[in-house]
Amino acid sequence: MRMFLTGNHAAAYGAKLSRPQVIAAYPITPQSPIYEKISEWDGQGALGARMMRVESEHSAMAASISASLTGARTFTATASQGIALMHELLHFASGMRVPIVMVNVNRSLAAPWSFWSEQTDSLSQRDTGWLKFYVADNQETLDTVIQAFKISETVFLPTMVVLEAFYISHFMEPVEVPDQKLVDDFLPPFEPAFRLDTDNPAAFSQTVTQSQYAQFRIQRHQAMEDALEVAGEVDMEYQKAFGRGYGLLESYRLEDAETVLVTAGTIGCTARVAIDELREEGKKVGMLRIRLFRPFPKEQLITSLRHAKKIAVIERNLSPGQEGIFCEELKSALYSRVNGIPVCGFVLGLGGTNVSPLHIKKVFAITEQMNEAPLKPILNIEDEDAFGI
Amino acid sequence: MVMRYRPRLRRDDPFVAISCDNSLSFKTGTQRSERPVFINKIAPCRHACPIGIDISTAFHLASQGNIDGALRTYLQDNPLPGVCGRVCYHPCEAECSRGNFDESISIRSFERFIADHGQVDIRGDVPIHSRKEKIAVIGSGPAGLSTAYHMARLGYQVTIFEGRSEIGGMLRYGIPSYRLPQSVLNRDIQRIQSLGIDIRGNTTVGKEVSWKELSSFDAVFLAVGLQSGKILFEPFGVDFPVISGLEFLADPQKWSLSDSTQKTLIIGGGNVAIDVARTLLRVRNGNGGNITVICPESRDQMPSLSEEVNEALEEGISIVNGWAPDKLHRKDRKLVSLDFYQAEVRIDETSGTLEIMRVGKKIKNLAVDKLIVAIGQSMESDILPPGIEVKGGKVVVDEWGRTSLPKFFAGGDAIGEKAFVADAIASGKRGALAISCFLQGRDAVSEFQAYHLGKSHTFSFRHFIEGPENDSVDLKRVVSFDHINTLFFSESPRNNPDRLDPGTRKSTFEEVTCGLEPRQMEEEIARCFRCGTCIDCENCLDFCPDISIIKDAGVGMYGFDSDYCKGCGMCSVACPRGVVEMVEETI
Ligand SMILES: Cc1cc2nc3c(=O)[nH]c(=O)nc-3n(C[C@H](O)[C@H](O)[C@H](O)COP(=O)(O)OP(=O)(O)OC[C@H]3O[C@@H](n4cnc5c(N)ncnc54)[C@H](O)[C@@H]3O)c2cc1C
Ligand code: SF4
Ligand code: SF4
Repeated sequence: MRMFLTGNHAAAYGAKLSRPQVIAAYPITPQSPIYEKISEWDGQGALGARMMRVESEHSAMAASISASLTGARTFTATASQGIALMHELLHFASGMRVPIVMVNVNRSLAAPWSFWSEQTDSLSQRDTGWLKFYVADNQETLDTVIQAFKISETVFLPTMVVLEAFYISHFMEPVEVPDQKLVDDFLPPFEPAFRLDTDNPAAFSQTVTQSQYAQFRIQRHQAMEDALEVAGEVDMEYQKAFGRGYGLLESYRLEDAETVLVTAGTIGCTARVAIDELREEGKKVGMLRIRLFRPFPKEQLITSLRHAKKIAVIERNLSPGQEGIFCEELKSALYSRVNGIPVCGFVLGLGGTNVSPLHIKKVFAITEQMNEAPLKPILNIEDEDAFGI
Repeated sequence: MVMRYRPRLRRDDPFVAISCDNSLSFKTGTQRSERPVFINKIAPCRHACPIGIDISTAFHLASQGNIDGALRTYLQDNPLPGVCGRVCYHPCEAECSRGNFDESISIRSFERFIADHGQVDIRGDVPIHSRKEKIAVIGSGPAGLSTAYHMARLGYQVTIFEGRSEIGGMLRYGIPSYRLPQSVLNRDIQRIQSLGIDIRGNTTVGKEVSWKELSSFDAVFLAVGLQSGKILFEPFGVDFPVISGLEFLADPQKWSLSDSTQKTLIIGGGNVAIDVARTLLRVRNGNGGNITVICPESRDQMPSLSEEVNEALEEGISIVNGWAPDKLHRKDRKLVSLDFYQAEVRIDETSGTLEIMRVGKKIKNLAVDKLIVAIGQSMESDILPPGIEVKGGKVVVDEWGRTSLPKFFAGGDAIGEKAFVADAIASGKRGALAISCFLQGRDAVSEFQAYHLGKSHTFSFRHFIEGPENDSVDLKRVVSFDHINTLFFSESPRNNPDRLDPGTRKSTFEEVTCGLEPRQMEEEIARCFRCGTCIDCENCLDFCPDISIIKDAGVGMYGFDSDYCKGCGMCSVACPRGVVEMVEETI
């Protein structure tokens, strides 16, 4: 059924269609409409899951972990300070190998207080052992939530589906909401390998020896590596069943592109417009949008970018004292195989300011001028003289 | 589509850390830098009690409904719980930890309660006459009764010589019966006597029996007290009797003072003066109009207990402070009036002596028919064995109560102990330890050192009898309020005993202070922290995060499992009463 939905409601529909058994969450701007929509269904008796209104995000994640351990399919959603509060339990979730799916609505972290889009909240959780999808629109949000359950429950790792505040969360778009039957066929009930069972009491995550610990860490890493393949397969399977697939990376007019923009999230949508216009002017430009950030699809990235002459990265986050995190990750992936492609890192749209087609065209122009990649991130593209354009 | 993915491990391999076993393989004990020590300690009340009664243990037993056990605990040190439960000045209550929290425990009322309600036959606990040595005790006041009792418990054959017809010393002839009923005193004395003690009344040593005749005894304990009341003015003629407070109290009816129109002045500010006034009030059937107590001390400086003073005031006795006696005026052979000068008193804190100073030139003249003087007691010179060293009216003794004569020991008021019942009992108890060490060739100093309580002057008689083996009490350590974890207690008001209404009581010799009701006593028992005394509350066991507390680690105490205890100290914080403490790990 085609519906006109905000990204938050698309996420809620994606969750509901996946038939979770437990949803434990705490409301926070800009995630609240997800919480509200699910509460509304709960109030109508239409949810089919146990909704737990907990007292904090920390408790939300603690409850989700425990619920998942009992074998219940578990969903939650948060944003910003909320995910920061969850931090220690995010490690627990992946360490205990529970396939929780969580939507994180990217919002700037305090201080100072701000409510707009920014990616640092989820990127700060980079090493918690969660799979992370960065989606570009409302339809992709719904589809990725459903995919995420399947991937997570196969590799026994939790997945975070990340969407940007307001650009997706509060924006309305036409969204194809699939039939429940179709989703049920795609996503069988959750069958955990181990579960909390009062008839067979056991301690989960007890203290282990040093070497046991190392082994569990390595196993989790291996599962994460395996997830790359699984995510690809699940996306293909989804494409077959629903007619929509995204790949782990989105390539746009990349075949003969000499200057390539690498980005994630909604900037990817805007970039398509800018690239179409530049192509019209005869510029050989293209885009690669990173959809799956963890596990990081290194090989696919290298293959896609092998022939690029120059690379620009635009992103809504800044690691203080270093640069944008996507740019840094990209460079590290390229370094081992491809040499000499200058990568220019642009940090734009911090605090949720708009990155327009015009900005993106400027980024292409600046990048084309560069013969040597700057060591520092480019934070301001307004002063055209500075770049000689 | 069939998923190609399989976890790299087989599905039944634990890729999640799960344990259906326990974590006993992790000997977390290696992480320990401190370890808990479980040891009972001395409660501050016990430390303050001159007799060193194990109050906290008694409260614990009583809390289990074992009133007899509580009484038995008291009897380990104190032969006169019925007496002390009424007339003791209860220094224990001043030090009670609970006083820092809300209000101190009614410890004296507890002692009275268990003495009145407990039933204990101690004969079975005592090796009566198991030793051949014979002990003579001279005087049957609290000091003499205490020595006799403890010597009998040790198996000695004891004879008490008492000059008066009745037993009890000042308990019988001093303290009035509205404060200490005769029946209560008799009950305590009978228990003491049941240990096979030979008591000879009407036998003044030096008169009916000569001191020489005592040579057949292996040791003699002098507990002769101070029997004469000090007198201010020389009495003359039948019309002018200056009566001493002690003489009056020993037989109140004898002095023809019942005529309530006779203006009677009582000079003195101590307990005796108050006891005299209140006794006289009762002799006069509650008519106190002409009874006046007058003393140089201010109201606050009066040495008598403030509760006694208040009760006297309630009963209508007038008390005049700040005046010292000067001159008396008589006409013919009759006393007419007395002059008093305005005075201030300075009390020397260390020696307790007072200096009376005249202030201004004012003179107060009070008309008087009868005069009673209650300004202290002194030693009668003829009641002591010849040749014994006496100084300042007190028998000279060393710290073990040994006098200048071989085999002669002394205690109580006669040696200048603080003039209280509990202190007299304590000196009798100390005397028993010293005499038995002397007879058995043991070193009293080291015995006392081994069993003495904290920094006090007393010791645990139970430990002296039983020895230190298998014991879980550190007699040297006193638990302070800081060691009490007050989070486990909630505030609740102290239960004070009722008193007879002043209007009713002033014309009878009925006991003024009532005992606590069982329900009130139950509340008091529950209020006691039981400082330093393990009561099996199991808090340490519940709070230990390593399940490393061992419940029965010998000598009835808890212990810890050294393989797993990390030394976190949770148990010592969780113990409400300071039994568990952390010490540095030495291995
Ligand atoms: C009126 C009064 C009220 C008091 N009230 C309190 C109170 O409320 N609380 C408190 O703690 N203390 C009180 N005291 C003090 C307390 O009673 C004494 O400190 C205590 O009794 C002293 O005990 P003792 O055994 O040394 O001497 P005593 O109690 O004086 O006993 C000595 C005994 O020895 C006998 N004796 C003496 N010489 C001989 C001899 N040669 N042969 C045979 N027998 C002899 C005497 O007859 C006497 O019976 C009070 C004292 C008085 C006088
Ligand atoms: S004898 Fe006196 S000090 Fe000792 S416990 Fe009894 S009331 Fe307290
Ligand atoms: S609380 Fe109990 S044990 Fe502690 S000092 Fe007071 S009476 Fe003694």
